[in-house]
Amino acid sequence: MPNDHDQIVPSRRQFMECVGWIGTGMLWTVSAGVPATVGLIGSAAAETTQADFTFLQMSDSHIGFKAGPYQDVPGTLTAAVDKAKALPRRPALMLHTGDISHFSKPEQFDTADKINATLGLEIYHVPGEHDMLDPGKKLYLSRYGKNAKGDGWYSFDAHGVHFIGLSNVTHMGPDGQWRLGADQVAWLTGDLRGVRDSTPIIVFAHIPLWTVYAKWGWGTGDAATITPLFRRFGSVTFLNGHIHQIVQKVEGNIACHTARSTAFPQPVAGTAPHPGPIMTIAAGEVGDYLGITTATLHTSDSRLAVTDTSLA
Amino acid sequence: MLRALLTAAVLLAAPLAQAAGTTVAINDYTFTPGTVTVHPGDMVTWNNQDSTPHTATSLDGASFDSAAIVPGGKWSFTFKTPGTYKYHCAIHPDMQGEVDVQ
Repeated sequence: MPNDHDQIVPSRRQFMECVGWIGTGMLWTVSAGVPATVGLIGSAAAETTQADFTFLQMSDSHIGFKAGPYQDVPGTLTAAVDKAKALPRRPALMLHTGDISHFSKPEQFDTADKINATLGLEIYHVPGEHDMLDPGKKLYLSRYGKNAKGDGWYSFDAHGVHFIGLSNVTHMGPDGQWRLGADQVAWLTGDLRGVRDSTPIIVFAHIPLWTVYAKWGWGTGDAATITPLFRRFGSVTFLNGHIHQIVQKVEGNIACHTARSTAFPQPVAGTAPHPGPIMTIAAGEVGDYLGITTATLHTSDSRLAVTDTSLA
Repeated sequence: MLRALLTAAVLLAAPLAQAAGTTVAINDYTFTPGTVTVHPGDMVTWNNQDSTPHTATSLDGASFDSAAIVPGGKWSFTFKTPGTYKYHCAIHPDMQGEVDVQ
């Protein structure tokens, strides 16, 4: 019986880098946790072939928020969707990494859904904590969780990739860190059991699945219980939102990436008294701080190239 | 007679329901004042004047939990038992406060 782990993982590990185009048009590579600029946006575009699989990540739309320079959050979401429509390659699907709404109101979900639907893509959601503020946390699950388990976790397969949507917004430990919970970890353990080592894995969840900054609750306290489950796989990528800025990290065989918000930016960890929206940006420059992420799976080596595009 | 007793009980209870109130403002991701001191039976009201939802959630995980207080919203809790109640916002854990009941 062939052993995928022995035959494939070593050769793929060398490709374990997370590549992104930041809003400035620079290509970054993050290797062993150290980011480095390697070229301009055009050089990355040349790597894409027709066989590759592209998908879109949208995050933190916060419909219902209105303050300071962020007076038109539906407008910036619409701008993000228009950017996605103008991509040279039509994405195969969209992942939304949570905080669709700001207050979990039906009309806020309606507004977001109406704008997102114009993409004409299959959209896969995971909840943000702002999507589960209603008593009983039922509204999100009734709208987006029909095929989900527990508080909104599920998996699906598309284009040879095993996608896993996790929910880490309903429980916070006394240490101020969010939690996946034992039920979800048990489900994930079983879910991965039937997945081959050579299958690319993409995990998406709202809160970062590593600790970006504990003081602000920017982390998942029990994420360490799931990372060993992914060690046997050749390609593992965690895509998250919540912190409204791009942070990338490679830990072992796992590439981690957080996305920008389509609504408002938040400060770099520890650079402000609190994690609230940056209120000092001129209204005309808001687009520089907002954006979308596209990702291309290179079918030749299962590498995932992650691209962030600003709304400016 | 029973009716009269019940009426008297309601009248006696009324002043307790109107016990002294203390307000904690929530603004700019901060509880102000950060520590309030009240007496058993006093009511504390959290008033969210911020642009984002917050909660007042006791760190012991059991004493009280406002759930989300939307901007412009208020939530009140009557403290009956003496003690020190540390709490935080369950959405933004760095926001912390304390209610001393004595």
